[in-house]
Amino acid sequence: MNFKQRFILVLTAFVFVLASGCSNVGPESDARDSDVLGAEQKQERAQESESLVPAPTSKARIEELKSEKRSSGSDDMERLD
Amino acid sequence: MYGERRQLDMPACIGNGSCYCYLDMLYVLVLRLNCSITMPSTYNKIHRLKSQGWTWPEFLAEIAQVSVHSIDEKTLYSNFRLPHRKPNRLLEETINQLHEKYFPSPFPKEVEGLITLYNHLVSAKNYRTQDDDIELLKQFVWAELEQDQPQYDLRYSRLAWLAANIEFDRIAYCRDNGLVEKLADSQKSALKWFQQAKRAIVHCKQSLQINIEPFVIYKLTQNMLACYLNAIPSSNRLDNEDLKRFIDSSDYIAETKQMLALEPFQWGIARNGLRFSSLLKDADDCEYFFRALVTANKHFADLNYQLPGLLSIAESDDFKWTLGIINNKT
Repeated sequence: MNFKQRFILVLTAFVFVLASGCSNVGPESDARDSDVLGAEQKQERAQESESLVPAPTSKARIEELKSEKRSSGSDDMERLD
Repeated sequence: MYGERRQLDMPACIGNGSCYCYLDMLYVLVLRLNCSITMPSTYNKIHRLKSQGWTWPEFLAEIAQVSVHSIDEKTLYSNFRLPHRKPNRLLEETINQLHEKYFPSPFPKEVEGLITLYNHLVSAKNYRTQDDDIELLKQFVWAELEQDQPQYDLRYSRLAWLAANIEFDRIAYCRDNGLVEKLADSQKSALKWFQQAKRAIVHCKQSLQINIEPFVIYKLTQNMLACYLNAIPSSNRLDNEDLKRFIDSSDYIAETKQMLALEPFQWGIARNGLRFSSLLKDADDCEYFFRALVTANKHFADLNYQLPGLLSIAESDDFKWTLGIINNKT
């Protein structure tokens, strides 16, 4: 066996080991990947839906301030300088 | 502009005593702020100036004399017509200058500067040492008042006014946070200083014959009433005995009517007259002050008309009793 033949043999053995290894872990890995992928997609969807919620408008903020004013019991008088 | 005017006044006012070191420092702060006094509102000032009988071209000519910047007639007129309109900085500063020219404050400028400084201090946001600095200012003012007590002049009066303002501004906070003892202390102290301020001004007007506008004294009466009102949550204000007692003893309603006869554009005075007439359940006065409010500005005919920072009449608990009367009449 010359050097070239030995090299081809080692390479074939390496490919075989690699292929058999991949075939053993394949199904579990896919499942895990799909879990991760699913979670990521859910998160993305949640983020998308959050971004679709309208930001508080100025009118809403005014109402908020009004209710704060009411809850603090104040239509207070301002001091005059 | 405001800073420049203060700078010219500085040498005559400060630097002639150890107690003025603090004032020196405060003056520098006022100059750096380059600020303008926001109260009373620009709306009222424009009306007060216009009520001298100026036409709009005359008004604009007067503005041109005090300001290098020109103000267009539309801006001026819309700020005259609409109480809810927020004036731009240039207009506010220009009107302040013109107002000071024709209706100068009777008080010494160095104390006016302190009041301006305090107003900025108390309304500043994210100011880390705000409470401590206000306390320092209060200590200084109290020390000055102790020294001035025998004099009873306008300087004393304005310093007492500032001491009262500092206590007044704590009232709503104490009320909202259930600090009952502190609330009573602040209210008592504010009332004491407002009364001292009023006594000194009346003394200056009557004994020293100094010309002081009636509105200056009226403002103190209204501030004292505000000390009583703001200490009470709005749900407990109706038929409140403290309020009734003060209103009866101070002749507030009659004074308010006199003020409105002099300056019918003062919607704030008319609104407060309506508020107290409602709280005391006086139907005739409710009608009177609602008419005065609509006279001051027709926008108030709409009970839902709202100004920035104020509840509309339809929304405020203080006006609940009067709503039925107004709705029946209209």
